[in-house]
Amino acid sequence: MPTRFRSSARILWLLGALIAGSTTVAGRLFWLQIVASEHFDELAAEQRERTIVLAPQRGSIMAQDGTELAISMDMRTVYANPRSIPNPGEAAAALAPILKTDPAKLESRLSADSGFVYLARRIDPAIAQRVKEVGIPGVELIAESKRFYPAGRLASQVIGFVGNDNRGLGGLEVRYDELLRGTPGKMLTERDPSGTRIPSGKSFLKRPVQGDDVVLTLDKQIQFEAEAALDRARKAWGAQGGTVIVMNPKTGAILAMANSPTFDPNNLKSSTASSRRNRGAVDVYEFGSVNKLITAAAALEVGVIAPSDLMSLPDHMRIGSKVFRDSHPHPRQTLSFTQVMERSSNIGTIRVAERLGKQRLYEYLSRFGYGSRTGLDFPGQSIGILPKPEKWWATSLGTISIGQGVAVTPLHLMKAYATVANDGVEVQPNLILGTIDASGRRHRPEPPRTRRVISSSTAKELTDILLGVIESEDGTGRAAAIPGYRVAGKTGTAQKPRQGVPGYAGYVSSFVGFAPAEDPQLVVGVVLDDPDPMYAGSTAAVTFREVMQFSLRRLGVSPGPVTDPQGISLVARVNP
Amino acid sequence: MSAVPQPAPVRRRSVPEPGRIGRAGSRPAKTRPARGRSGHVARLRLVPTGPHAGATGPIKRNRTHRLSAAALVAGGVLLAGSVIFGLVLVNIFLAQSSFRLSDLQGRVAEQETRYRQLRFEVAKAESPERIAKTAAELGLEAPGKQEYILGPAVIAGGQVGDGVSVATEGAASPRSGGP
Repeated sequence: MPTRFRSSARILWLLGALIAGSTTVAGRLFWLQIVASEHFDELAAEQRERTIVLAPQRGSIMAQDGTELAISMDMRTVYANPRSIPNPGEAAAALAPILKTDPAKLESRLSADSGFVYLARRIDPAIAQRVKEVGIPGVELIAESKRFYPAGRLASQVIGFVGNDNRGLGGLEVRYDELLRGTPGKMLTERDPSGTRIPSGKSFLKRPVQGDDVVLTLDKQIQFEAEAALDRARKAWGAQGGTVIVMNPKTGAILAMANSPTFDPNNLKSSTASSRRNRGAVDVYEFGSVNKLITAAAALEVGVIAPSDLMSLPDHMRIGSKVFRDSHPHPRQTLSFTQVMERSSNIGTIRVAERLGKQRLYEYLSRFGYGSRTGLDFPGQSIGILPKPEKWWATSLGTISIGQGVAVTPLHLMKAYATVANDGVEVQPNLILGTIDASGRRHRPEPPRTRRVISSSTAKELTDILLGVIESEDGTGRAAAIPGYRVAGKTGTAQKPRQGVPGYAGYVSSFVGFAPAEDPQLVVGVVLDDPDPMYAGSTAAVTFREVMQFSLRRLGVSPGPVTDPQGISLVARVNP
Repeated sequence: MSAVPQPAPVRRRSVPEPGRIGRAGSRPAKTRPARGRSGHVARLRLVPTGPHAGATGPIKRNRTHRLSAAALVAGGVLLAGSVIFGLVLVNIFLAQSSFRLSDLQGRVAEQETRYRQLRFEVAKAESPERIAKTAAELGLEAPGKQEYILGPAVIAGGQVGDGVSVATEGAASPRSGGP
């Protein structure tokens, strides 16, 4: 029996050991498979699975006719893992001529103690293909999108520009960045250790959603002509800069917004901050006499004066400590209110403003949108500077009524004239005709807000007065006349405030008008910064005529119901 | 039919003899098994007798069963082989399709890039600046003036005028104006 006992004990020990071993293995299995399974699943997935973020293509920005003004294209970026490059010198010598870079610099990058260095970003795919064909291990390519502006400088301040990360940094590129950018996609695949996709492995693809295209109201031909006219004006009269805006008064659509100096967004490095500014929407000016429109509108609407009312006017007058003068000395003269506006008499306008009072003048400036946003969807706009009546100086009624001491953007001014042209109804200016989503569906924006500012009769009286500025013998805006059309408008020559110090230096010349006066289709505004000669009648009015004439022709606007002395109206236009 | 004693087996359990495989009907006649020196019972088996002993009765049926089993096994192996081969084939097709898909995706991407490149070229060609420059190089000039025929027309009252006049656009003479 002792032998049998020893045998049984051995079996028991063995059994115990087996049970202990099995328990250990089972415990470990339980730990691996149940308790820590998620962690190990993740580790395994990390080894096998690769998730690639698929960048969406940024939407295009188009002109009214669908011409692309900003477009994104797939380029190639060359990068390297220096640790995988056996001979950086040889690699640099092979790649430098293709990438057109300094071999020494390239070698220094390829010798870096890093796992990733850029060799060239967003290069032409054809050049990238040549890099690939060299076949240097550790040198790889990835696709990256690059923004291009095919029309170069055309409307560059309006369109804006993007940064290295393809995010909008200026103009409409930043305002509509979210819409243009789109939604990134994702691709998940399982790969074997050599990086080859496992066909039966896990696979997931979420396609990127391309950004929406934004279609602008800009007419590229009118925009080009406005820029060319502005360029000619700067050259002819040595202006420091300027703005031309063309707008449809009925819809508020901006057909052109030209700025000078300008820049090429394809070559951002060579541009200056000043050249990238959309002066038409961002810069504020004291416009001078063009602002007399609002004084006249308020006076006619309130009824303190009628267009034919006569006034006896000297060539200067004192208000508080300041002496106001007309532009040219003259003996005391009797002028109707219409003539006051035609000749842009400062004294006549101030006299009317005195009848109106500062409260009512302020009220009408506000009603025309001064001191508030224009409603244009553009970043960085200024609301202008319109002091409240309680803060006005003794001289403020005189200065503000003739357009000094109140500062607004050219767009504010355009909106005021468009209101008169549109029978007294203000239409919110707009730059966006619509958007096109990734599926090709077109979306129209909300219709622009409208608001009656002055009565229809006042608008008509103002139009007649503004016609006189161009058509009468003594009008200051005769240079703006376009044979065949009736044009209404107003000149403005204002002193320019010094930067940072009190007082004035230089002039701002401006002209804003609309045509055909009988049924206005277009409003054009021109602002020239310090031209020589300074008078708007000799400078801004000429540029206005060039741009308006071209725009009317471009849009096929007939000269309107021009009548002969017998009341016979115009029929047709040839060579459109 | 006779029972032949066998040498005593070493162990009690041994591999059954072929003759013992079968149904109840093929069981041999009950005979007393021979015992060896260790006292173990010797196993007995049936031995076919006569000229056709191998092809008659239960033996024939056993052979048929064996053949059926072999055929079954062979069929199973063939089926398994086919399934495995099929799976491998499917996998190969999947792999090939995957490569083809990658290739096609690459070509789609290439074509999309090309399409955008062409759109860019078109947009560049349509640029007013380029058109104006090319036109100037070709000797073209911007039109200086435009003529309008002002002819008879129906006026508001329904009367028809008869005068025809011509209005000509031209450069209005700039005047050194006031403010």
